[in-house]
Amino acid sequence: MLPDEVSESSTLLERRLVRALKRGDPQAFERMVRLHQNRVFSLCLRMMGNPQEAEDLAQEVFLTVFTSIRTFREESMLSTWIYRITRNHCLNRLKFLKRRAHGKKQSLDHTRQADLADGNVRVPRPDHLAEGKEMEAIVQEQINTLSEEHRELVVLRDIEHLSYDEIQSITGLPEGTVKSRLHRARMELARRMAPYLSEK
Amino acid sequence: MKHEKAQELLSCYVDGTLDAESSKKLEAHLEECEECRGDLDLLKKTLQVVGEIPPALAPADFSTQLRRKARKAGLFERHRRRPATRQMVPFEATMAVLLAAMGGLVVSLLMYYGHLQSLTVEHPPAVLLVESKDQVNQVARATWTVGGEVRIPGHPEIPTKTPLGAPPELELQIPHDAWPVWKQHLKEKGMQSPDAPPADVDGRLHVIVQIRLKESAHLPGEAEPASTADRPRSPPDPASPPPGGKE
Repeated sequence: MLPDEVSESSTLLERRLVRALKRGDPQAFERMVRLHQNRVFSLCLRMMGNPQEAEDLAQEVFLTVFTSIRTFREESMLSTWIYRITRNHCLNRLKFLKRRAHGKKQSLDHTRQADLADGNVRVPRPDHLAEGKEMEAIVQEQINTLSEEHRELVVLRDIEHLSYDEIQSITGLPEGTVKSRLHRARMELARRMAPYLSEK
Repeated sequence: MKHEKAQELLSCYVDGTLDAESSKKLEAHLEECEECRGDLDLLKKTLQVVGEIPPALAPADFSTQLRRKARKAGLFERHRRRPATRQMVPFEATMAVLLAAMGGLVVSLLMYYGHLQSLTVEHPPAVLLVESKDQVNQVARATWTVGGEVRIPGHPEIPTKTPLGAPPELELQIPHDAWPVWKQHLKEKGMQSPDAPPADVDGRLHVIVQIRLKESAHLPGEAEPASTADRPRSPPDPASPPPGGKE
């Protein structure tokens, strides 16, 4: 099968899936969940930085998709539309958590530096850092310290590896804004990561 | 190229989305500017580390939990009732109303009955006999891994974690397209999976597998109380017709 045929075939399959979802077909719902659950969960996890929060949010996303699928005008890919809903849920949730935690410590926004100041967290020395999970945890913690608008672009582009076109479609931002904001976000993250990267 | 402009272009340069002319100018600036070289190096290292983060996978019981939430919210109920409501058409004449209502009722029942059948599997369930309680839990885990569902007949709660307390019998719903993967999981655990069930018409339905401990097993066709093969595949639903009229 040629690439164009594959693309056409997947488009047709997606149209059938969307039609079935619009009819409210439970089997279509399950298929849609199986197709997208990992990417939706991953986006939620990277945005929220908390697995339980991410799981709850990802489930809310799918329930929203199912109940509002009739408003999907099929002008974009279903996955892009689902991602847009996911992004909106994450931003709303982050705002809610920020409001709730106003005036007191908030676990999601704890920076490693703040924890260090409190003296209640072990911080690995940069020269003792192990690769893999520990570095992943550090990256996640530093991402958590970024503002929401910076965080979403780093996550969408550098972790989920979406194209600029997809990011524009999901965020509704113009291309120039995506690029300039992404650059600022990356540089901010890079500066926060600098102490952990000196040995690399 | 000015320093501020060079700083703005570093990200696009790393991405490879900068045009040739701008790249050349930036490279010329980089040769002279230590700060920009340092930032570029830091940016590259950061993006390398961030890019190496593996994709996160949803928990094994994600879809099961979600299905439970959807049922609780009544999302699927609305879908199941829709065919019946479509049949109600107003008429002016009394007789016509009565006749239409009766006809509509019959048609609705037929459609509803047909729809319920489409939600269940029309093939007899496959049967998997296992040696131990541990294997019961292994099979359950394999089922959740492929997005399937485990039920304990007679219990409305759908378990999502092992150990399951090893009931004498479990019912598994495995997405049809996940059947080969599920079999592979069993093979890796040293278990022989049941024969492949007949393919569904559109490949969308679940495969029902009954899992039984060997010591308490009843093979299909043997005298067996409560005839589990005829048991409804869904949890008890007040809107469902009685089991006897389903098949």
